[in-house]
Amino acid sequence: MNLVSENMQDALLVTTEDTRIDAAVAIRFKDQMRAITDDGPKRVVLDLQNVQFVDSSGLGAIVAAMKQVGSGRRLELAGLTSSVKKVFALTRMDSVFTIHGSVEDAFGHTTAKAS
Amino acid sequence: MLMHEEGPNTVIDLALKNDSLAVRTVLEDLNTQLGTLGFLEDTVQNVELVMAEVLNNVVEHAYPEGEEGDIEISAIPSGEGIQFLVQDKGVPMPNGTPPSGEQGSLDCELDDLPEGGFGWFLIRIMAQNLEYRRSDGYNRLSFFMAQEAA
Repeated sequence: MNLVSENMQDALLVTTEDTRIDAAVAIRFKDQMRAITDDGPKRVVLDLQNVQFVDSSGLGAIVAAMKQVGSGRRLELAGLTSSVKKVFALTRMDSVFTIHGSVEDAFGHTTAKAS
Repeated sequence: MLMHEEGPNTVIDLALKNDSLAVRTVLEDLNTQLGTLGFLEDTVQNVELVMAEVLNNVVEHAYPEGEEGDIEISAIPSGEGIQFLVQDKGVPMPNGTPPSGEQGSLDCELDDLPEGGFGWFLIRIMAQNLEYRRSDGYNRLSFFMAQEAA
């Protein structure tokens, strides 16, 4: 599991380099997210544009990552590919997360919101 | 991993061990084969998701951790979709029936959001004619995945 983090303005951008967040890596994803987001900016944007597939374990790990970030801060998502978007829509998790079309959208416009 | 016959009676047979990385490999094979048969991306994505959930359930629940087990998949594609049969020799499903897959409420505090239980929910809303049988020491789960319209 490869997560790369970068400080952006007042936010932390975390990019997933892996193409899958599935049962094989869900626990590692969750643990690495905990380490990366342990402290730092209130806003964390998780870039999922490289991720072609998320299963229920991966979805659970992303939800867990949002909980770890905590209620005083927030985890937002960006760059969902078609299959990943489908999983979020079917489970209605797209109503729980703020989802940006792309990283550019997440940082380019202050009015960016869930789509 | 062999196509026995070409044409309308093509059967895809795949086998794997109960391991989450083996699940990845077999999903990749299945994607390639369904793509070759002309199934559209939307259908292939649905199959990948449902099959991932079915296989991960076998890996996590049917076989005790650390014990090697076999999983067999057979798929019969048709113009309407694909009929699947997944078999394993693990422990039977509790109560002899697959979980109902009801999803927890999302109208709650952050800390109470569900982190699991999505698997059977996804299988049940995407797969049709889901049937589970326990016979001859095998768990046999069959279901149909409809071809999505272009």
